[in-house]
Amino acid sequence: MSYKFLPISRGTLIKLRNRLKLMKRGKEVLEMRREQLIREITNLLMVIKKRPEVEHRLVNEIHEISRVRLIRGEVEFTSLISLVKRPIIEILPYSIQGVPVPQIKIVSDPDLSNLKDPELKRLANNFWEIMKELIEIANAEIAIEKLANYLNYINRIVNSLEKNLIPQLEKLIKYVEERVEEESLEEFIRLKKIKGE
Amino acid sequence: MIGYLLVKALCFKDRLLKEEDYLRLIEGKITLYELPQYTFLKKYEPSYNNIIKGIYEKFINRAKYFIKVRTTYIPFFYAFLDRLEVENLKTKIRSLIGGEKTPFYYPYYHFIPLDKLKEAKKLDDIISIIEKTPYYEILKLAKEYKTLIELCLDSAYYKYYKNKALKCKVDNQVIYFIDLESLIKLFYWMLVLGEDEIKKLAKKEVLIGFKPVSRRLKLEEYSIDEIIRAFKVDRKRLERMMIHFEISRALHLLEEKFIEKLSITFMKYKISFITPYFYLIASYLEMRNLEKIVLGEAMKLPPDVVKGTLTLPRPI
Repeated sequence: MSYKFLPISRGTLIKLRNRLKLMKRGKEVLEMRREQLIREITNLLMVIKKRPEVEHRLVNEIHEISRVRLIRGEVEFTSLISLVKRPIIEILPYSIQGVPVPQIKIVSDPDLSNLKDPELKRLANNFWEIMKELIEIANAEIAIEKLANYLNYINRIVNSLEKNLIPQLEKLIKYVEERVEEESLEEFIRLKKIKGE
Repeated sequence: MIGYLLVKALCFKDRLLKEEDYLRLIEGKITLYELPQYTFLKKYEPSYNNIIKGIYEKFINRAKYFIKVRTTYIPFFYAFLDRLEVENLKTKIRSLIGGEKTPFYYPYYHFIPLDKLKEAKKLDDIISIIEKTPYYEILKLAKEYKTLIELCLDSAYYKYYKNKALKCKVDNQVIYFIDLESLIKLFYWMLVLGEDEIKKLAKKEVLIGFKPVSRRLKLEEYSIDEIIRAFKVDRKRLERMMIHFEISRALHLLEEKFIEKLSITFMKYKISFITPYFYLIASYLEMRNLEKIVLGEAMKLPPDVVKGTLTLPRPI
């Protein structure tokens, strides 16, 4: 923003003061938004905290499934697993605090109705429950990533307002104020002189 | 010719892998191709699916050797191998229900050419394919049990297998072990459908194939208790597995007990038909064990997990 060629007048001063007010208000709004985003990210971090525990359960479940796969043999295991109808998953854009975030949405759970084997049914159910938790964590992770990017962007703007634009504008206003005051003093003296003559 | 069969079976048995071979394989001290019996698998590298198919082929060829020897036991050997055909049938049925396009089959057929089976588009096609085979016998009796088609196939297979064993006049000991084999399968179905449902089905002759033909075994109530008594397994251990639906562990326990009993009988009656039967079962177990090792390696499972799933004949 260049104020180099601004006319020194009371009108300019009012305009600049209004602009400063707007900038300060904007900065406040952005700071509030920043706080909201930080609160949202903190909430999402609580979801992510579950990750090690869920991953540990996933590893155990995979070991259990692998063990059953070994005992049953490849032909029997793969054919029994083929009885499970796959879940339907979609990736849709959602808005979290006004930030567009891609989220995994489970349209339908896997259909285990054809699977009669109770052991495989139990394993498939457990595995799907863990997958659902992992999807929730993945959603939180991607949301945090997007929100953090946005937070970074807001921080940059706030910093730029706080450290650069507002002080610059305040300096300019001070300068214009001084000049206007000077000019009005000059005008007053001139008028005095004219009256004295 | 029985003498020739016995000598051959005894000879071949010595070429089967020993416990230490499995351990060296699991620990990665040797590869499968370094074993003289399995050098041919090198050409299937690196696809583990093809290696497993190669292992299946090895077992099938071993069993087919006995079919090539002109004895009166040929139908029995065919019946033994036909368990793979029944598994292929079940695989196809599951793929039709589940919509899986490329199921994994055993490279074996007897009554139903594999290509014909693969071409089947719906369940009715399967029924018409098996109409002229012994596997249809139970389905014919119980057409209303289409939902239990796999159970009917298992029952029909064991009926056919036992009939062939009886017709070929195999040793009574072998008949007893065939009965035990069928009881393991029945036990599986008891866990899947529940004991009460099995008892109901037993009244309708659907489970006729599982009924023991040996005098040493009795199955009157079709209960889990009778199976526990037949295998003499630790009741508490088995019940704990059943409560947690650990079917694989329970089946593994019964299989171990079965092979333990078979190994002891084989040691006592080496000069009888139990020898070729023992060799076939041991070859089948070798196939299953190697499959487990290859799969375990492909899935990067810890050696202890793989080791725990192996079923090994007692050292003889």
